[in-house]
Amino acid sequence: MTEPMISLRNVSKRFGASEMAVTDLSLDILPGETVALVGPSGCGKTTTMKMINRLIEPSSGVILLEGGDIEERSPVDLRRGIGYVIQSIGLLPHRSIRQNIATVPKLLGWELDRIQKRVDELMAMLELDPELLGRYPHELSGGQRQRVGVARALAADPPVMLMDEPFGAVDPVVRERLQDQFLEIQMRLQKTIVFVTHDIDEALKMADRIAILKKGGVLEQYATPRDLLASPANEFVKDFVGLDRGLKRLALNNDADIDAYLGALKPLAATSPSS
Amino acid sequence: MSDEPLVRWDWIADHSDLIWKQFVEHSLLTAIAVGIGLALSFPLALYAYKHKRLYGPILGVTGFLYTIPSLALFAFMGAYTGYLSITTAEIGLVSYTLLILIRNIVVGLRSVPADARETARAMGYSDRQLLWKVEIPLALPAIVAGIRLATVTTIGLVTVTAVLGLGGFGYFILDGLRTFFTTVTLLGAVLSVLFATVIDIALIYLGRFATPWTRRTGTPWTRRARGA
Repeated sequence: MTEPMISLRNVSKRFGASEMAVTDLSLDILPGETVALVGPSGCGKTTTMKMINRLIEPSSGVILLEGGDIEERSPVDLRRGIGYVIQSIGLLPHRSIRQNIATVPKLLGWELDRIQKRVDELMAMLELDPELLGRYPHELSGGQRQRVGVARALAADPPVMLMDEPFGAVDPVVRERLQDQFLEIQMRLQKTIVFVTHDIDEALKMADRIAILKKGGVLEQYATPRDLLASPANEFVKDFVGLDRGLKRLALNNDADIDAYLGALKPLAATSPSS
Repeated sequence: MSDEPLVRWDWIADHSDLIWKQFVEHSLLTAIAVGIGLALSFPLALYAYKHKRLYGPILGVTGFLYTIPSLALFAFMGAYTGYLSITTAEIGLVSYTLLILIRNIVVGLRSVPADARETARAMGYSDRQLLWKVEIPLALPAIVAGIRLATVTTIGLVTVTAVLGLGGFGYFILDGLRTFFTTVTLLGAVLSVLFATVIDIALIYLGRFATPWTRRTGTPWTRRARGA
């Protein structure tokens, strides 16, 4: 069996004396896998994600990255090797798009022409007009900013990416295009991705495996989209996966229907890998 | 006295050396006050920003200093640290800048968007890098506003330090009042206002230059590239 890239072992988090945010969570995430953390608000999905780059320290339990305990690494060092994208994007308002994308390579001390080349490469990869490079974040549209956010997270080519509602801040049409574009990029790059969403359809579309959490950060089921739809572990999962699906849910009771449903979510390029 | 004109331009023309000397002294007293004020305010403001509980007491003390009437303060300080003393003047002048500067620096730091701070940390900025490369640059508009206010206030207060026997445009005002020579009084008043206005405008432009991202349409070259 392949060694997991990220491994959470009995991780719990409690903020002060409040209720548990994450309860005894164990998850293995394989290299090149996209895992979605899904659940209602207050289910600890963002907390779980932020413990992986030590923005939040767990109260108990161990998190391993490539087999090593992340507690033994300096947070600054650890974070430079992990891409990070959030819903509000968080581009630095006082830096041009070029400088924003170059952030981590610059922190890592890359040479200038290597940074230059990498930035140009990422602009092309995310289909961003090079003319945007000299502008400031507030001069871009929401969709452009979101892609710059992804480009910035990919800049130093980190093996792991953490994404919190990465496509949440844009309108549905743009969101779908960004999702498709990201799936295509991910097919080529094979990053290990942990992403947080409250949108089950987004999880079904983007993820190789989905972890469904309920309030208090309790893991209800960790399975592929297909297994989640075909055999939900309990009523909570069934309800959550069926949420907002209404009539569509009724139709998903055989393999062919599930294939058709998942197929409709994915862009053509991602369902028929060419390489 | 009645046939005396309001302003005797020939007197002004004959005393350009004296005017220059007072201008230099006024500038020096102002620059020293704002410089020392900034040097004291920065660490205090950073401390108040990191330790929220200290912000109240620091504002309390500097706020109290700010409320002391300047003429009273200079008269009182003169008795202790001496008249004709730059030290006396600067103790007063610096203490008036502290409230303005500290408050503006803290407000600026607090206005840094939380998401920018979070992603900067998540990308591997150390605390020190976060402060110098993200928080302070983003606080600059508020800091510059504070420096403008402190500088203009100080230029006004330096005219009052003339009661200590020091130079600056206040010398003309006092001298004119003492000798009933309106030309000199008006000269001092107009020059102080003019000086404050010019410095304020200069600082506005300096601030814009230091914070290009606050200009709505971005840098000139992107504007040109877009054909706007």
